[in-house]
Amino acid sequence: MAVNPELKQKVEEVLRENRVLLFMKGTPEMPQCGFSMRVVGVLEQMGTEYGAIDVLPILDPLREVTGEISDWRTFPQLYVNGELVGGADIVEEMFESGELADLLGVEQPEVAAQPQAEATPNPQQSPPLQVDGT
Amino acid sequence: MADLAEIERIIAEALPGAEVEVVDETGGGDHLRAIVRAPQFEGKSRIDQHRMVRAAVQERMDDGSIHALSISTKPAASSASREQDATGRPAKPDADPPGGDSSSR
Repeated sequence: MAVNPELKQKVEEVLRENRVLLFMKGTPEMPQCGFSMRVVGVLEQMGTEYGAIDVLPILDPLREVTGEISDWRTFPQLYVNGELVGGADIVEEMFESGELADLLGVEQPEVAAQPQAEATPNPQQSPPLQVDGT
Repeated sequence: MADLAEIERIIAEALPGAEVEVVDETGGGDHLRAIVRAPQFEGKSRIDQHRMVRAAVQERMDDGSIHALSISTKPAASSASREQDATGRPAKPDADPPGGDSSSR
């Protein structure tokens, strides 16, 4: 399939406009693929601002475009400063090693990859209801 | 369905001197992970390292014999900076599982 020049132009435009840009299946609120979900999870932990593009409605034309721009056709794809960083495997590796924090210019989150179970007190626990019969 | 040893061979041929291990992550033969250590990775970004591995197996991806291939790349053993401990000593080589004889199929 040939590359749609209009779509390519648009992609290059959003890459210029978003320092951190994620092409993903679904949305950050509702990822449609486990790999995309993993990258969203990392970005959320980094607390960095990022743009996200749902590739599903235009999957095949977009594959052709990213194939041409960065020689990569599978999603998710994370771009920083217009450069392809990688997919889920690379993003997770770079997150764990601290390289991603360096690249994004943020502090490495201290509780990386730890469950936050203890961080929040149990909000369900309300004091027992007291009915005083006086 | 892809033959793990064959994929190891394809990658090793494309990257002479590389240590390659391909494992079947799900047991179903179609979700594979290639763990590759190659001297050619020196000085390359991760995405370029992955591109090199992927280029080697592209044909098998295209013809559908590999459905999904996860890639883990590491620099050649002599410069495995990621696996050094805080003192800067290289990690013990026994961190790697013994290769080649895993036949749990």
